[in-house]
Amino acid sequence: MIKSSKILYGICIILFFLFIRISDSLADNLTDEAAQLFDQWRSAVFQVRVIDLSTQEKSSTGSGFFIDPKGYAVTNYHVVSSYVNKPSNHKIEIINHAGDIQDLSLVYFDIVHDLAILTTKKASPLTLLLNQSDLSHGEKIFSMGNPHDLGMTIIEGTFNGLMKQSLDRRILFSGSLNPGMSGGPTLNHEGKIIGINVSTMNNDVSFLVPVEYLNALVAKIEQEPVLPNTNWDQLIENQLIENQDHFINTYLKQEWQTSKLGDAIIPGEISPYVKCWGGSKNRDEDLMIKAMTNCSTEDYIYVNDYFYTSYLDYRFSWHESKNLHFLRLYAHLQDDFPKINYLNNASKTDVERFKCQTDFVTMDNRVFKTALCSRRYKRFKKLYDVSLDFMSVDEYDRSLMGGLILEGVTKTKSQEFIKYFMEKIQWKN
Amino acid sequence: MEKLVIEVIKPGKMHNEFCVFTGSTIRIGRGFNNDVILDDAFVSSEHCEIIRDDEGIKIKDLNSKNGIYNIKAKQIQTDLAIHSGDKFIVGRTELRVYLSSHTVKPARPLIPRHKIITALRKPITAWILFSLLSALAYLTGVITTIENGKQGQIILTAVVITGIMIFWAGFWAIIGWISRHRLRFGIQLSIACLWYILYMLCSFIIDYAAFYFNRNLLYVILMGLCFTMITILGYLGHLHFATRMKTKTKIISATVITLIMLGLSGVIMNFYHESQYLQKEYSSSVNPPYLGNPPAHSIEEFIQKTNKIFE
Repeated sequence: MIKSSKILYGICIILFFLFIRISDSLADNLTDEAAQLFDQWRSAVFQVRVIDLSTQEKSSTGSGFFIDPKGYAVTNYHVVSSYVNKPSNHKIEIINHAGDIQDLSLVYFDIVHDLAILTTKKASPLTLLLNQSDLSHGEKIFSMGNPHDLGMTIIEGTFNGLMKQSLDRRILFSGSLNPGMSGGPTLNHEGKIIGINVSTMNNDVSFLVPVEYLNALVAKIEQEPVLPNTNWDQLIENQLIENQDHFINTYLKQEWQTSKLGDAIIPGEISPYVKCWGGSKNRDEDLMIKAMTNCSTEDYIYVNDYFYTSYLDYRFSWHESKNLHFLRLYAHLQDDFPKINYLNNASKTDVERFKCQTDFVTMDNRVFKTALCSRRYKRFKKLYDVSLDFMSVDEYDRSLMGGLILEGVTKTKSQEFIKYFMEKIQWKN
Repeated sequence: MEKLVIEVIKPGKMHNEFCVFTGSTIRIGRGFNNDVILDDAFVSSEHCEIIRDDEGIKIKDLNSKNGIYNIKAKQIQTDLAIHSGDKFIVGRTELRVYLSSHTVKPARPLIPRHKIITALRKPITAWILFSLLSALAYLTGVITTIENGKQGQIILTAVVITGIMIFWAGFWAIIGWISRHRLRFGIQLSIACLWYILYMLCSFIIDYAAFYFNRNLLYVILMGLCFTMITILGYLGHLHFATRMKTKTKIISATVITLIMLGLSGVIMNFYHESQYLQKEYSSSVNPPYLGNPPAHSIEEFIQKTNKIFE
């Protein structure tokens, strides 16, 4: 015992020295390239602060960069969202590398891809150049930003391609972005922008907005300059409507995979952007078999800290009794039925009350108790959160329960999707 | 000489005391040498005299400490003339004087007890209803569990429900003991059990009807009516056996208590509704197909009907 632990100890020491050697050499390479880029471009990158005018304190911070000698600068929409949500109560300012503070105004944003374009009269002489994000897997990329208000930093990571399961493509960046770096640029070794820092899942899993979306946005404002005093709510609403049109059309165009659950055939992963999970419960002491599936999209659109939208979720559960009296089975089902679905945590200021319509609906010759509920967004009157709950009530010993959530959809699109969705529920013969 | 009757009114007691006199002078006081002796600390030992002569009935104060209060004149007097049926107060005791010629109301006919009340009075009814309640409570426990080996939980549910009913019957029995010096626990328990059983039956039928015809408003209205009626009847029963209230008073009390309960539940529902601002609220009642499948719509018809929730 003592002997083996001594050997282990020895190995550990060897590994430790080896590690130091390797990481030393890595650090040399990193500092060379990163330090060069940092020195070259630090004056084009700045910290963005949104100041609450009533307290004169910052309500959010992030990073940004100049892209145009005329004074255009870029950050994330979510960095300046408190300004967009309440322009009269906030202002946007930046602090450059030299510590100078300067006020900026918002020109345009893309809420779907989380980008915002700002402008200043005092343009920076040094601007970053936009590129394309067609890099190869494993290529070294460098991200700049001001994490936790600690000062400008540069971090090195690797490009790991575009996320396939996301409708709005994001670059998977293996490097550790931190809060405050949002809106900062990510550069290739030539110092050209390939993406904009946007979010992180920690442990070196971070995401970037591909620079192509920024190119499109810049092209758009150059073609048709945005008028001052734009109604930002109207802009958000238009972008959200366009986005939901796009994703619902995408879903409806694709061939839907189906899966089996009990006696039923139900929609499975209806698109590559939807991920499904499953589980079942059938212990000896249970008097009922229960099997569940849950599918959802993995991304959503940020509107403000309490309000996320553009999300799809559907779930099914199959209940089958094993010698459970129907009174007991139905008492249990009645308890479970309204809990099938959960929605986003929007608050009273964002959404109206739910309105519901309940009915008995025939799907593939089976009778379902069905409830469709919708709640209108207070600021974006054409958009709704919609929830569909249904449960088969034509058999004494088994039942299929289901729920569907669509967030941030219009009346027409949601009805179109729900109709298609309900028609896809079939029964095994 | 015509007989004179003095009624000593005793608040809180069901029967007053009547004293009959033939003489022309009747002396009232706390002392034992009086004709009417009043056990009242505010009455002097020789308080007053009732004198009858050709002119009528007079009361004369015998130099008492607190005098005589004339109810008609609303003041303390030393000498007053009264008529048959008039009231006056000495000390804190209320008295009324009648001449024997004073007419009384005709007698109320004796109504035979209602069959239901006769049945409720039998101990066997209490036993039967309590057994039914226990069975129903056990069933409630069974329905709310879906796992084997949850006997403890089922029995606990049953014990809690029967316990509440026993407690409720006990409460009314104590009320009965206070106002009538009779507990009558068995009858009160019968009424409590009957209340619960009727309520469960009622809610089962209404819930199914509202589910089948998919009418949530129907459920709310019928449940409200059913709950109000059963509750009023229940309170009437409890009050009938626990107090000696007049029928009219009983009905008013039962209705008032029920309306207060309805009002309170309305307030609670309103609070609940407010706190559920972000929740979906719809009737989630589901039932097995006892009467076959309920009438159903096609998907197109349903989608058409959902237009109104987007308005």
